[in-house]
Amino acid sequence: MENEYILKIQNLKKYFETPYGTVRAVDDISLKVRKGTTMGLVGESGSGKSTTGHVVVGLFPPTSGKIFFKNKDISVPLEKRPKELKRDIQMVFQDPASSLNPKKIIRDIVGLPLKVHKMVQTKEELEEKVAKLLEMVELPPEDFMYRRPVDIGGGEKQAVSIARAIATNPSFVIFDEPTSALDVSIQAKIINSILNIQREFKLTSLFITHDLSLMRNISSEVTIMYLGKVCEIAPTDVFFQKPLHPYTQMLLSSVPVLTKEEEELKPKGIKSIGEIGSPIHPPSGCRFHPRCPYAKEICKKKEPRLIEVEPGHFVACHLYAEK
Amino acid sequence: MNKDILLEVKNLHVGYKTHMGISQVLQGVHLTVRKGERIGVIGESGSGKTTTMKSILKILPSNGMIKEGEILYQGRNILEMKQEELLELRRKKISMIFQDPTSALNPLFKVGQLMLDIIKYSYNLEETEAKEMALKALRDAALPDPERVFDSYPFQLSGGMRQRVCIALALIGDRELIIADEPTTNLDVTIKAQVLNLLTKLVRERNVGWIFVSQALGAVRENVDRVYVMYAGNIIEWGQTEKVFSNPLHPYTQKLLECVPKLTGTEFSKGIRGRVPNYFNPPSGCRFHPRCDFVMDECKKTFPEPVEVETGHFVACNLYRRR
Repeated sequence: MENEYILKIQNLKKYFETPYGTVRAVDDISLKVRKGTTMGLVGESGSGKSTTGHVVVGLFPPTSGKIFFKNKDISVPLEKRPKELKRDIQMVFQDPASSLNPKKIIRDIVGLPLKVHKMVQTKEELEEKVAKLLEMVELPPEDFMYRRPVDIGGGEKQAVSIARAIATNPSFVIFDEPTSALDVSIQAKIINSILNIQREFKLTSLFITHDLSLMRNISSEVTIMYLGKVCEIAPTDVFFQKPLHPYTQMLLSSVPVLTKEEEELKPKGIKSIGEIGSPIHPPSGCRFHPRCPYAKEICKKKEPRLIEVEPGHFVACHLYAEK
Repeated sequence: MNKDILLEVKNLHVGYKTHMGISQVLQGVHLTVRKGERIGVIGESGSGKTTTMKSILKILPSNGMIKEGEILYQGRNILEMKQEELLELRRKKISMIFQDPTSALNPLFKVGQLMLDIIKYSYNLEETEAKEMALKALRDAALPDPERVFDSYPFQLSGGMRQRVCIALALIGDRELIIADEPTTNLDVTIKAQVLNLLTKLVRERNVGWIFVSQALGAVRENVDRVYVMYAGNIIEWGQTEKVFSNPLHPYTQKLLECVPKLTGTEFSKGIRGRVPNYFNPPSGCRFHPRCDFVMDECKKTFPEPVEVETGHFVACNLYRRR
């Protein structure tokens, strides 16, 4: 059964030293991603969702904690990671404009990972493969192959980044807010390409976003983070029917919606108040307590543990503490 | 002349002079705001929303050209006003809240100093009276500890607090019209909800007219009385918010709404085919025709005359003509 999980994160911490103090970007989180599923990682700025993605892909070494990928410990610095691992885990970044080399043509951008991992021998083979990849993200190869990133639109650039990410046939892809810089009509296109690719390649992915409505449509499980901590983990359906953590409820109630059916899903009786705390000096105890309408004495002192309230549904809140 | 009408934009044509020629952005934009009415303007990036708003205040960049049209403020044409009148209007009657509160506040001055300068300049007040007014404005904008905010530099405040300061500034005195251009786009979900609630509350209490420009369709739907939909420099549909969102008429509005991911998880569309038009050589007739599924011959020739399909709900589309 344990093999079912392709990625396991255990007690991961990532701190950054700054002149103002230590930023506890990710502070002791654990989560598991099942093979072939999409885990949605949701949080606001400073929650540590992007840092988590960056540590998994190897951009930063973890401060402490373990990351297991296919049952192998990968919590080592990037240069010590086997090359095969770099082929197997890929990432799509938020801002396509700054993640594509403006001087290169699309063929070379998408073809680079193929060359690095020696997956093609000849130039013809390369072009053929790149053309296939571009088709997969619905960019006609004859139009795009020889253009540069500056000549194409934002949505098309993001499609190129996706083509590059899947070029090496990875089994795990991290999407870091891939559509937050795009218009809704373009977002819809990109999300559809991602869904198709996930289906076709049987990809496992970590989808980082702040948009709950989008997450609802793309992921099978959800992890909610707040100031470097995990608040709640649940299967997507359960999550929307029964959000448990007060922060999750506040987040859900803050989403502006378009229809009456959606309005019914929003938790009533909770209003967004207060400011997101500082990750340098996070609030004591439960980090959400200064904004929580249900905060008790214990919340200020003791940090709640993540407990399983029903199968697969975890929450870190004293309201649900073991009785 | 209807005394109820605060602002009326009529047949506005605006272009920009660039090294590539003259772009034809706005093509006959019109807009009406009654006293105390809350108006939403929605559309994707590049649809001309901001150009319209900047024209109203006459703050277009120096290469912007208003070629045709009238902007009537309580019956008087802003475009023909003398400089002194225009300044008076901006000082006391109309104010604007911008998307990015960080660049809207001068980083070299304390918030208090910024506010005092503006108040003294606008109302010829003594220092103590002006300070009283500033603190009251900060208190009204629900800023905790207004004295401290008054004495802080913008960088010492969080994004949400900075935007509250901008709101406080925009609502000083007896304003009659507030233009908010994407006021919450840069903020986190829960903070967004707080800031929008505050804005709506203040606008209601003081009975000022409000133009809320945004790409966030849900946020617009929840906060305004009437909504205008823009596409490529044209107003293509307008009417009461509930009518436009529950019964969208224009093919573009329909598609746009389908593109938004829903909290209920209902599958959303695959995006809108084609691209937004180029303003140097825009499509003839209805500018949406190259992307429209219902295109007819006449769509390519002339821009369709608006039709009132149900009371107060208008659409500029040939599908609804001759009924």
